[in-house]
Amino acid sequence: MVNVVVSAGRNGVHDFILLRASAIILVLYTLFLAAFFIVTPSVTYDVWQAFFACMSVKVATMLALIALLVHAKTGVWQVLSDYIKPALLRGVLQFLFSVLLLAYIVFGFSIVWGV
Amino acid sequence: MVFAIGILLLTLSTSLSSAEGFATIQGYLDGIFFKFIIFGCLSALTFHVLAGVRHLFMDLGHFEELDSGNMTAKLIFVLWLAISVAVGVWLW
Repeated sequence: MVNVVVSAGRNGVHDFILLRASAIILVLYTLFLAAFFIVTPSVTYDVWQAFFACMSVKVATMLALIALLVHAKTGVWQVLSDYIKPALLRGVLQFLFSVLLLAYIVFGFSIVWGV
Repeated sequence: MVFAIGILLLTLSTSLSSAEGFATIQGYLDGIFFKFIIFGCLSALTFHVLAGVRHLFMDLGHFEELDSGNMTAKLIFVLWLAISVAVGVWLW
């Protein structure tokens, strides 16, 4: 058996599950935000700030960003391994996208931390 | 999608930083350029979610035949257009 060491879940079946589990978290968070905008007639700064001051919204936001790392890591790998043939370029791009996704988590944490 | 999330995160950061930051974003959203970018992000996200949910149903063994698969493919296009129009109306 060939071990694919570049995959997030160490094997294809684990990647498959991770991609779908993270997708479910991301859909639920998207619906949650959409519901907020639908039930809130006019979103002012006070309403917006109070919404993100709520601990459960902060936790949901961070959970979504961690799910995004898992989801997009595999998603980017699928696209790159299909379309970028030179191994070095593919590796560099995968590295850059992974770092960007990690940066999103740190950025998201700093956004919701002080609210 | 990765870059769309980056744009949305930057928007969230500015809008939550202060009342002035929130007003800045509101000002940007009054302009056609930023409005169109946010519309593009939300429209792409909508399509990705709809197609993803369809994919999950197929993982569970539904809509895997040619006829039903074509039907759900067309269905998500219709839903995507409808939701995109609704998002557009809401933004404008």
